[in-house]
Amino acid sequence: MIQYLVSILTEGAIFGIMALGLNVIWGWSGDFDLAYYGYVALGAYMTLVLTIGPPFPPTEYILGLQLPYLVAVPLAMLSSAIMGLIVGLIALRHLRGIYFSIVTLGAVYVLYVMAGQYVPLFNGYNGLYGLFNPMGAALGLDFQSYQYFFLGFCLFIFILVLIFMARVSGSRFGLALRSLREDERAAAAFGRDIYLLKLKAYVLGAAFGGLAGGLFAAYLSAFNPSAWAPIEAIILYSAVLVGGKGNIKGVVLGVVIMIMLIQESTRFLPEFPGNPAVVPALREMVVGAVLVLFLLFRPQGLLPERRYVDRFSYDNIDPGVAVLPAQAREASSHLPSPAQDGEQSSSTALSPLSVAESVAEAPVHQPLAQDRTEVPASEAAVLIVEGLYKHFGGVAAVDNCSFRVQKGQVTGLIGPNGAGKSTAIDLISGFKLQDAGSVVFEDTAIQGMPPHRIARLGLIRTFQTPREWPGLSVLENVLLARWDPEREALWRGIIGLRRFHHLTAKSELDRAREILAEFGLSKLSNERAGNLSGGQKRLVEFARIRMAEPKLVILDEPMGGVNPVLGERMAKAIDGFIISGTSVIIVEHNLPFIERVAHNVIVMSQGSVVATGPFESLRSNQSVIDAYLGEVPV
Amino acid sequence: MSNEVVTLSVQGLTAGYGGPPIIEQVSVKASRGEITAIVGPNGAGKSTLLKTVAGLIRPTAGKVFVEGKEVSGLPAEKLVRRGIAYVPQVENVFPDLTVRENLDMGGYVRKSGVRERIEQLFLLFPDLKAASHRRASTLSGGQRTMLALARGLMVDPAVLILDEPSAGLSPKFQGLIWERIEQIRATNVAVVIVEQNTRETLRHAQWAYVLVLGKNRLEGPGHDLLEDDEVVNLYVGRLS
Amino acid sequence: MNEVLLTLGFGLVTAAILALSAVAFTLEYAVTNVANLSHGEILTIGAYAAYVIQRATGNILFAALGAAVAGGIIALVMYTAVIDIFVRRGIGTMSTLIATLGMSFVIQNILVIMFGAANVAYTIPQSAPQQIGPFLWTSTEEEIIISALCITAILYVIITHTKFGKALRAVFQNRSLARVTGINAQLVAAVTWFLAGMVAGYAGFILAESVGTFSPYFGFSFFLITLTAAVAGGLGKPFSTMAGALIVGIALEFTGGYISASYELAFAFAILAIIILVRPRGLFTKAGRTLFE
Repeated sequence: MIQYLVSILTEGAIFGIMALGLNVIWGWSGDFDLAYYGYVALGAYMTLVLTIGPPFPPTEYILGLQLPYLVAVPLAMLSSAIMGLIVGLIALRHLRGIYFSIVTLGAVYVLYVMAGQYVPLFNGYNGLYGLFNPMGAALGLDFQSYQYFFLGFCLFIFILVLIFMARVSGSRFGLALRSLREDERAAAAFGRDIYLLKLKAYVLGAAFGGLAGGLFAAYLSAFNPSAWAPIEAIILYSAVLVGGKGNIKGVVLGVVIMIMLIQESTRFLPEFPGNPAVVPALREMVVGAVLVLFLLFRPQGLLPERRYVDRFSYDNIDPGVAVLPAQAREASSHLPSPAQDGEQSSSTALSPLSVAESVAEAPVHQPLAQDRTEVPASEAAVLIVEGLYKHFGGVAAVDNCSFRVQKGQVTGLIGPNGAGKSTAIDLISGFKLQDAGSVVFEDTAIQGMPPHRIARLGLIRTFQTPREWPGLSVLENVLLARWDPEREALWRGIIGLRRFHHLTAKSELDRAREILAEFGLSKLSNERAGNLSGGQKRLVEFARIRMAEPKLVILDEPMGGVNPVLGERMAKAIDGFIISGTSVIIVEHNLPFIERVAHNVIVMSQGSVVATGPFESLRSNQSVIDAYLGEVPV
Repeated sequence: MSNEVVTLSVQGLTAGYGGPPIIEQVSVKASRGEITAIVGPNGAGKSTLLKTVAGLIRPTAGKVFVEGKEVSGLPAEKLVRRGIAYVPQVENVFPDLTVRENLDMGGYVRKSGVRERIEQLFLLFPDLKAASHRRASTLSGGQRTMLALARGLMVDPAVLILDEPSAGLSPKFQGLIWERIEQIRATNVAVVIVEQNTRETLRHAQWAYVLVLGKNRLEGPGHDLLEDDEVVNLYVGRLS
Repeated sequence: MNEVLLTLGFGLVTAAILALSAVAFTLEYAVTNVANLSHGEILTIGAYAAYVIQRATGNILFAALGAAVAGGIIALVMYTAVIDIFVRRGIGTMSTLIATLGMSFVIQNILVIMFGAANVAYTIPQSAPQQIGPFLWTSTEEEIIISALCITAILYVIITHTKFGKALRAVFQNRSLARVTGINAQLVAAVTWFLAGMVAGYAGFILAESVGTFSPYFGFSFFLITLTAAVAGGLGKPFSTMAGALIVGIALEFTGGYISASYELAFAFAILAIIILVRPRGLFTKAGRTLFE
């Protein structure tokens, strides 16, 4: 009985390490990596060829050194990390979703076949054996006590890994990684190098797979393709899923449950004569069924991912702009539960601020030019676009487009659909590659640069639909607005000080709270951003921009899907951008809004600029009327 | 409410996406030859209401009648045969099919007269006739909306439900769309429309319902609501 | 030159089986947007059904029909019991994908319980190879190619010239829009899965015939090659998938001379990886230039 417990716990610790590593790639980075078990296998194989000494014919394998176990395991980790790097470099560049999974499946399959068929590598189908009780001799342990020792050793390593993961999870690196999973475009628009971040996570996960493999090799004292059966991998993935992707405690819980399930579910069944495969088959069936049922009823797992919870009291914050505390408080705090997977069709959820939205602010007089913030005439151009050209198929979406954007002003960009406005913005911000032309941002040529580099130079953009990071809290969304290269480094996540400083500087947290109060979002600061209504999500986006303090922000149809009642609040927010030194380009179809906020307007049609000037002058411009305005209602 | 025969009657409709309901006990009526508008702030449930009436979402309570016959709880594909046509806001055409093929598909449930109906609609939408062999994905946003409207009309519906048809369109196209909608109304269809451009919508609507937080709040003739300062401040906004 | 044509001939046999399996898979994908990872199990069940019926009746025609019917039924069960439920609840495609993996496990192990895990020999009396043009085929191989061509022709007619085919294409492009046009998407999907299942079941039968043995796991390994062909052609597009299957089937046959059979699958995967990296939407569609295009 004790023997049984000891081996179950040891297995559990090893699986736990595997699952925690997989969680980095699948839970945090959001990629369903089917190659993962390959890193475990490689770790096991490498540990063996580094410790069991030279091969006796007819066995064949590479290396065949006789290093101490504690030296071999880190080396095995390194080899898994290297393989992870190779696979990741290829697979993470352009692939997501099912295509990524298929390619990683291919990679692991190739490794599996090589290991099993190409004998000189790891002795083919017979595999490697001979790693008996590493470190046992040195400690003078007999067989019995070795079991306890090894259990303790594995548990110790497991706890170290657990602490490591907890630190990474709560670090800014971890948060940035999760934002990638939530919405890559938005992450890139705020300066995150998607490829590099995902690669780091991938290699990290692979390395821990290798570590688990090294322990596994000692536990089994051998490794061969039959230890590499698909069922092992499925159990691993099920553990992560059942327990809760993204939640470390959940993952551990999942491992516990799966191991118990595997061992105990068929305990009381008799052996079937003539078909010895029945009981293991039943076990596998149970695993398969559990997987399906969880995906159906509880895809987020038993313990869903947790967000950073800010227990700050906002009563002492002095908001810069009028907030509506009374109305916000009177609304109910009952909010719908998070959508399954975050992948269900989004619907605008009911939330306290909907009430506030529908209540007018102080009576607003008609929008006049003088409502705009007064801006001293400035000669400096913050953005110069010259001869931009982009075609799709045979059609030029952007055709010799040139314009200048003044610093310190709000410049509107209007034009009919298909005029090329959104494409032009994609080209300027790096989300599409231009065929020709140049873009100069504050004296730097940025055409051809990837979006995250452009964002780091101080050019941020929004998208036609709100792109908050839905699985993160509103506060987390705002905190991430600033790219913090120091804090976001992986090593910082591990070695940094108290969690508080780990995630963000105190001054930054204060600033975030101020901004949330300014936008009337304080009540929602811990709320899952994906649960907010369309208008609220736009406000979160504005809060992010405020936090990031870019030199130029490009707003792509910010009023889209937003009730016009919020118009004045949005306009004030844009005024706020100008005051704090951010220039603004805004694409909009809502002309009264443009009239209210824009100092200068550029009109595009059929891919190029047809008119520029103050809004009033364009109203009487015939070509603009023909192309775009039609009969403007009174 | 005008005293004419009611074409669409929605009574006490409650629906959601699995959690708490998004719309609760909502009631609206629409008649042939009239434009009925549904307006309200974000999160009011307007889109959800339309999708439920169209049969894409299953209601948990309430009844729906079309021309006096009950159709409560029927799924979208069956409602089409009962006279309800729904034009979604996004992805409202088949991108890889041509204009003509899209219209053809719109007539899927028709037993006969598909070709004649297409010709009729080409009279109403001359731009579409000119583009009849072009793939829908190559059309501009405004043309696509026109195609989506025409597709919905292929079944000669009693009720045409429009979900923000002018979203993302230039003012010029918005004007064109409203022209078409008025023409459609004149062919004795009951038009039910949700629009973000509330001011314009209230101008055209014979009757309007204001939804707030998933429930009926106000109703009345479009013009009257537009003249009510409080309504404008609360639900329309000055910048629209 | 003779060698090449000979190999081409064998490649065509592989391609024929592959084409049927791949087009069934891609049809399943087209109406549900789900890559069915338990697709291989449909082939396995087809093979077992054919085997059982052949042993009971000795009639090869019944065996073939039985394979098709069994395949159709299991596919329909997969659809109604699992996939449709996931789709209706709006659960994402990645999660549904994993669920099909779970399904695959359940089915494989049911077969193990019923039939044992060992390989089963499936031999059918066949004629000696005959010369047909430049190719050398046995009667079985001829039957395989002819039946594959016939099935392909029937599918072509159904998809392009029937009202059902129109509905199928509509559901593929935009499910909810198809519904509001009056198309019963659920019914269309169910019928499509049944059809696809029949084709896949039959493919399992001819695969088992052609290889000579099978086990509860054989469908899964063939599935990996099927996936390659389907991705090469472009997921959801039946006719380019067949073209993809042709290319992959022949390519495998040609390289089979240079690498041993055990590496074949790994090689198929290498091809798959390269295709996905260069042309993720299939060999016949242009790739975008940045990650976001």
